[in-house]
Amino acid sequence: MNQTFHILIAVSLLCISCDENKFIPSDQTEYPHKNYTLNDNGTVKSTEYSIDDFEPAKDCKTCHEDHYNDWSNSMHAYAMRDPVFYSGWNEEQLKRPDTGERFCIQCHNPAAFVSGVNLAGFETAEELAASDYPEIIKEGIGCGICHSMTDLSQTIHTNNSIAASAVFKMNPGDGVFYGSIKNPQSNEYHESRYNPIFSRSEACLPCHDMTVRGVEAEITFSEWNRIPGLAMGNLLSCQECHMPLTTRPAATGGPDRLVHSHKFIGVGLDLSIAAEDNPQYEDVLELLQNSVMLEFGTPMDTLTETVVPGDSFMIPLTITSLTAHSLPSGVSFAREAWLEIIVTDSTNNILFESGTTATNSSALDETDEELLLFTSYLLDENGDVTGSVTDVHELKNNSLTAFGKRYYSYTINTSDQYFGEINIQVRMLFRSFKPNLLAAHPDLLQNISIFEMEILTKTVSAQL
Amino acid sequence: MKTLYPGVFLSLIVYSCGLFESDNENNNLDMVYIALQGLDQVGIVNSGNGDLKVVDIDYNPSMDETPHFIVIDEINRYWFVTTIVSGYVGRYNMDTDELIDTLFIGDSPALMVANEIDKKLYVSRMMPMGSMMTGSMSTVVQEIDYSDSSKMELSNEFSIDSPAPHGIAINSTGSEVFITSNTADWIYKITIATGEISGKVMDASIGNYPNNVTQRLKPIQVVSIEDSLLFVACSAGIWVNPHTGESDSLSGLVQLWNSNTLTWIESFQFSWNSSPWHIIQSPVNREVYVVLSGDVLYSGSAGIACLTFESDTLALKWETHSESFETLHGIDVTSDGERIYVSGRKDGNLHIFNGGTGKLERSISLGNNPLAGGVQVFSSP
Repeated sequence: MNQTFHILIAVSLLCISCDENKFIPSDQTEYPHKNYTLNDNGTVKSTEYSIDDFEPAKDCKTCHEDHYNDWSNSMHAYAMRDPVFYSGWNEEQLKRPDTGERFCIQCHNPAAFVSGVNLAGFETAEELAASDYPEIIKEGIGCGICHSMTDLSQTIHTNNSIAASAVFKMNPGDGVFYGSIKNPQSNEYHESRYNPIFSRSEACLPCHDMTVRGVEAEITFSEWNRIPGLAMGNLLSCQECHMPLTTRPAATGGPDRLVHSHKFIGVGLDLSIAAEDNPQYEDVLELLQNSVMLEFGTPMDTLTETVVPGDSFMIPLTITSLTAHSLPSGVSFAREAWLEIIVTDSTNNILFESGTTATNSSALDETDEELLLFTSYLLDENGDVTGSVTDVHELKNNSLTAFGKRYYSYTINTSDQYFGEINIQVRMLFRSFKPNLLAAHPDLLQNISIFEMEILTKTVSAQL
Repeated sequence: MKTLYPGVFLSLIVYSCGLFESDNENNNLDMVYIALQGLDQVGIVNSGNGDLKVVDIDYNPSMDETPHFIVIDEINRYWFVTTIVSGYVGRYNMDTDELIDTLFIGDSPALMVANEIDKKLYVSRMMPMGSMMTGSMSTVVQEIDYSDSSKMELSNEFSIDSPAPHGIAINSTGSEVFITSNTADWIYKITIATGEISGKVMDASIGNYPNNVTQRLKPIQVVSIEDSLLFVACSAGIWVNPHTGESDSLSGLVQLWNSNTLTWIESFQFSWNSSPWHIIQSPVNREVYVVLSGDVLYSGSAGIACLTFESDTLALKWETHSESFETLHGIDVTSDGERIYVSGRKDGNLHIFNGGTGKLERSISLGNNPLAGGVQVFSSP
């Protein structure tokens, strides 16, 4: 008995000491995180997180007012106020009662997800706001989510059951907030700790990279990560464009520093307010205007200066993406970017047009064979187009690839009776929602914007 | 008898703690240098005692450095590091790991090769991406003279006709430097003495002009072997035809070229999501080892492969994959060919493989999300 016991002890010690990772650097900070486990429906089975671990954003406002103001107008703050989210979320709960509530919540409300707070039953943002749920839940993706993050996560791979599976590695509740500032000032409210992961594109995982049934449904991170020149060195990270640096104090009374904007500017806007009143409108426009370049000509063809009346001529165009992910990206199936071209004579008679819309909320004419449209289409199990990502079985992706080019030519027929100027105007346009996806929300549809990303004009002469 | 068991246990414990590991078991003492891009450090692992020493890289206090690639000059006892973001080359004393000097060269310096006899470094560029990476539009390969023991100098520049001169190799005498363009898929030979530059398109199916960005094969690294062969690792992957908008999945591949005539010999294809990145030659066999960085959406796609050209034809000798590998990046092999060291950019480990079989022997944590890049190993005799 004694002998056996000793041998077992010795073997155990041998096994323990054979840890492969024995070269742990001693001078690097350890970053703890809490754990949780999920059942097959994506519901928390066990968790070390409590909803009370998370601080609400308004508690941060006193010392971080600029950051708070940035965030409060962002789509992160809109995550649990967006009427379109509530429609989709409730539809998903009806379709899949076992998994529907958690699937959307895993990213729209990470605090509720990891702590296991069930939010079923709320049909509108107003209902949630009027409830006695903690502020951290009402605010969606607040300060305490990202700044309690201690380690990087992975892509969300969603199986056929559409169960939530996001892995978050956070350490809320012990009074430490983590960020990208290497030498944070000490303060009485919380401990501040530098964590290099905050400059990494992977910090936007798990939520900004998701497959469904193996379909690359929303893979913004992977689109960036598939470019070796970016992925190798974390160059042009998500933060560089969507959280650009600015000089200001990180906290009230602190020194001026290079700090990140917390507006999280993307292409989405709160559609419950008119575009001209939206505090993020100009930022979104600026981002989009820096996202693409249009040029007349392709490597094969150039635009002619003159055309013989009665002949046809080509308008060759090169569209170059200046974006480190596809355009559109994210929920690319809901978004669309396209070329609008209008060719007129000297009296403004339209000789040719494509990609024009009557109003901002008018659908594009997708039967137009000349229409150059960048978007994607979710196909359900019957091969039909669907607006629901959880129904996807196949993706038809017509997005413009990261830093990719597209060559395109229009052929214009001219009249043998017309001599004079022919005016060409080409615009690259963008809309964050396809109008048909907002059919159930006419109040939002009226606020949708079409952004002009780039414009080109040229006059050619019809002459003998 | 009662005292026998405690003795046996103690022996087992001591043995299992590695205290009696000798250089005989480890063959040689390896010093492994790893660029820890995310931490602005170079990590140096001593395989003898397991220490991980870190050297802070801080050339420009107002910005990140992002140390990317390391090259060792064993003759003159230096190691060098490029910093992509801040634009420097740093030189260190190999015996003390103390910084000797830095040279700002700008323009996102990436990979390097050294001519240890003439004390010259040749530096390639990171890939420019549209106008988004400021100062990275160059087509220039720089030559740095480090014959002065205290001060490096930019001694020459060679401009190729293609953007993104990233992959770089040097022949055994230092008379020829080879470059591949990551975005235009061209390969170049630079004759150092004359400055003559000749190039060939790598993608015969396209046959594009040298300045025409195609982003199809995406060559990452090139190695020169036996002063007659070039092996080029090409990342490839998903490609969208700019004329039609249709997408295609291109196989990751290793191309074999004749370096004297600059003619393509053959290619070896991996899967489309294999993403071959860095490549090195075996010091003892007619083999090359290539890192398959993989695709994060496809678990198990990352790994390492050994290609043999023993019979002048490329053939797969072994291939090792694991779901624990995430975006493998840099690679080097010990001088006896026994051990291969590979950095995991995303998994944060230094992986050690058996050079003969490709079997993973051990993985070493490099700290909290180090964004590990280039690897260089020095094996003491």
